[in-house]
Amino acid sequence: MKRIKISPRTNWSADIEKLGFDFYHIDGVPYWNESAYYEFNAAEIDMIEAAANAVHRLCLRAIERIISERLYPFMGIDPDLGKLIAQSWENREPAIYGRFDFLYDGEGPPKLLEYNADTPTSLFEASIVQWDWRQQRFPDADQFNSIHEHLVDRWRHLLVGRYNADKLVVTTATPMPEDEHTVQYIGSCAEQAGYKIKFLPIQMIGWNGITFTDLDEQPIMQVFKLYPWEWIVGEDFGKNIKPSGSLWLEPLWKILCSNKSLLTILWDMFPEHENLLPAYRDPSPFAGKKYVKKPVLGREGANIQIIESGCIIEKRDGSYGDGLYVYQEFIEPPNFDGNRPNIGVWMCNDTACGMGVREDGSLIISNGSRFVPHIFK
Amino acid sequence: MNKSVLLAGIAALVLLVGCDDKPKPENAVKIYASIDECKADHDEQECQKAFEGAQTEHEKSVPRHATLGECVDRYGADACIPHHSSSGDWFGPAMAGFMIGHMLGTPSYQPVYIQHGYAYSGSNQLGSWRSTCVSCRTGGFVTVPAGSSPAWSRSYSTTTITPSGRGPSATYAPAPASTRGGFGGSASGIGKSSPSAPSSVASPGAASARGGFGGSAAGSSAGG
Repeated sequence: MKRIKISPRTNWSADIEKLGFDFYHIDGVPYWNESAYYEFNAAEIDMIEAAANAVHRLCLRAIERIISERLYPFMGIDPDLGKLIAQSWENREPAIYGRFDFLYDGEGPPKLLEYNADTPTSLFEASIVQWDWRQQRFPDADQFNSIHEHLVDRWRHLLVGRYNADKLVVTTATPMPEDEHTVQYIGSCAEQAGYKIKFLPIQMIGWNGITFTDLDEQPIMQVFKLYPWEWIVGEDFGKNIKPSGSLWLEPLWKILCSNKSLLTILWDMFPEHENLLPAYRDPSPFAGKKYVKKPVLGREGANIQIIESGCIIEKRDGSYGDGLYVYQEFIEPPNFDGNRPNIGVWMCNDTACGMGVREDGSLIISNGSRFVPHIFK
Repeated sequence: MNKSVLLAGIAALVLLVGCDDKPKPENAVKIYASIDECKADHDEQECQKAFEGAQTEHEKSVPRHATLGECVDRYGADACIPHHSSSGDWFGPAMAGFMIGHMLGTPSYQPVYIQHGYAYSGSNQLGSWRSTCVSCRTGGFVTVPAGSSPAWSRSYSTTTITPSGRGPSATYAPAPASTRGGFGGSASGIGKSSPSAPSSVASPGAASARGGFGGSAAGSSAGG
């Protein structure tokens, strides 16, 4: 694993705009960064891929345990909601995708930081933008990236089951350029698989007492949402999901993956697993050590603190900090000239299908971190 | 109280407290982590008095918790200090800093604690603890919400929903006959022109109520 500096393509911003990637600056800071790339060897990529597939299986076993032992209060989940989650799981509601975040230094095994299984973003840049970059820059090198093919395939696969191609509503809260773009990309994958797509801001979804409706008052029976389940269930229409009979992706059971209490349950079930870090509900096992404090429902690095000897040595504020926390052992991320990479491994259903590297000068990766393309040889 | 423990707590908190050196112009209360910091804005005597006043108040009224867990739940692991007394051990938050009580209209000198991202003086929530920088070292501010309402809530964007323009435009066409904007509640302020109560949901088959989703976004990304 190496970080190699390289001059960006002459017209790089035009090149990526052509792909429809228009949020390459976030809050004025360059987000897409092709002035460097990461190079891996095939053994490293194999190791990353195997880690994601293995940890995904562990997560599924942890979900089984949460549901069979009704560990909802431990996760800060209302038991009534727990019943719906259990139904979603027992009905084997299908999933599309998710993103693991791993720390990997090119030597030891990748270590799971968290599983963004409900509302992952940075998808388009991983799937399309870095692939386009590879084709122009390193046509002879490989890239761990069959995300697009897998996504289209996954959508097609759902048609064999309870989904139909007539109408799929893709939704998120607007205006949020990054999130809108992510759902449009997901929608275009579904379109390629044969679905008719309607994009509708989530605020505009209607309820007529029987079904959800679009702006033409037509029923909505299939939804892909990029909107956290824990928000949905707390909102006025949340209670209508079940009576509506509509199908929602990602499925409700994924609320158990994006909840960071999962990390403590994983460690309890599979202690010393090489891809897991010790994680507890209480910081006392880390006395005298460095550890990370994460809100159970946080996203994008918000409200994460790194603590050493009782002092915060680094933190990121945000709006997720008023609930339960988990405490995870801190390990030093690799440092390439002051850049700290974080490996996002994309899961298409149950299969690791690609990777995106984001890096930050800070120890905490957030939605403002830079996306840097990768290749492997 | 064991003085060395307290001092260690304060030394540790220099790291925790704050961001900028410059006070925010308005609606901001400055919290000082040390007399030295205070001296930039006030004369030394007043700072000394303020620090001592706050410390006395802190020793008298610091919230006591029987277990570390309780204290950590409220103030965070980073802030909790063990205390030993003849009546038993307990845990309490370190003083994050002190403030000179202009905001309250009286010259009281109060210790300040940080709880779940909000700065508190006693039971008064001063506002959202602001530290947008990552490696903050000195000086902290809280920004007091307009009207100083203690019930802080995430601010909602009042922007009207605007279609992104990237989707097929037909799906954004205003709906034909239905009345829209049928929800208040959590979605208030997000792009609805005429909120009404959920009870006004029309009979089946008629116009749909809308706005029952989306209220939680409050201007933050739903992805991650």
